[in-house]
Amino acid sequence: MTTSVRFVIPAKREFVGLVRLAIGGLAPAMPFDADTVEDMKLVMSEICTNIVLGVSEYAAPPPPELAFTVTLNPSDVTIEIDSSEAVDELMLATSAEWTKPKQSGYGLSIITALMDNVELIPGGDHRSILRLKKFT
Amino acid sequence: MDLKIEVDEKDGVVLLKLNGEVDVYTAPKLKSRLVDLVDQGKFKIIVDLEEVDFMDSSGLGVLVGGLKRVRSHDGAIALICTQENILKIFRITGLVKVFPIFENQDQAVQSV
Repeated sequence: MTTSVRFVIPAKREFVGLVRLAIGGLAPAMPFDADTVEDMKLVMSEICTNIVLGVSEYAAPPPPELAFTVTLNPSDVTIEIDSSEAVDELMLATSAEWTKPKQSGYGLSIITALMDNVELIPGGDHRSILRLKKFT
Repeated sequence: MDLKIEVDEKDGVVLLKLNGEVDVYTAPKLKSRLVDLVDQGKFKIIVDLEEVDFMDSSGLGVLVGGLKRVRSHDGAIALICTQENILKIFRITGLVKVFPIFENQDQAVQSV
């Protein structure tokens, strides 16, 4: 059985902690131990930080929304981060970095080290998706 | 989700005791404190991470920046940390080779 939960937050620094709380709140429904849930909170913190900093640098106020969906599948937990147009441009511009982290990018190193699969799926209508998978 | 920073000094060594979470929202507070210390001529610093509940690369970046600042004055930064969830990000990023990390304050003081 598959269950999905969707979250939408303003792409601002002070809401990144809320994302970690949201992931932690789903822990009882995830087939993972506490350490793996902590890893996923860390990964989401890194991704949101990357987007929030990019947004604050490039986007005009008000900040765009940052939306993500956590899907609990029998064989994995998938997190999909989709975007408003402003966030999308940032994600596409850095698409190579999502899958091939540079040595200097601590956050990207952490993301790829802790998740089983990371891919950016470009959309045709300014709606790209960053998809993360953790297998059970 | 806040970060509290206690500052103590003994024999020319500054101890920064962190309590809370270090992320993109709170890291600027830590950066500001480190910059202030260097501006005051404090170049031997110990950062106690034992009561940090969460830290991501925002915190790592601030610590690396602080290390660069003190090293330019022949100083040093040592860390106190025994928490596996915090040590993990230092291992993943290779920063265990950059920062001396100790289990207690006495060991850290001797290193700086």
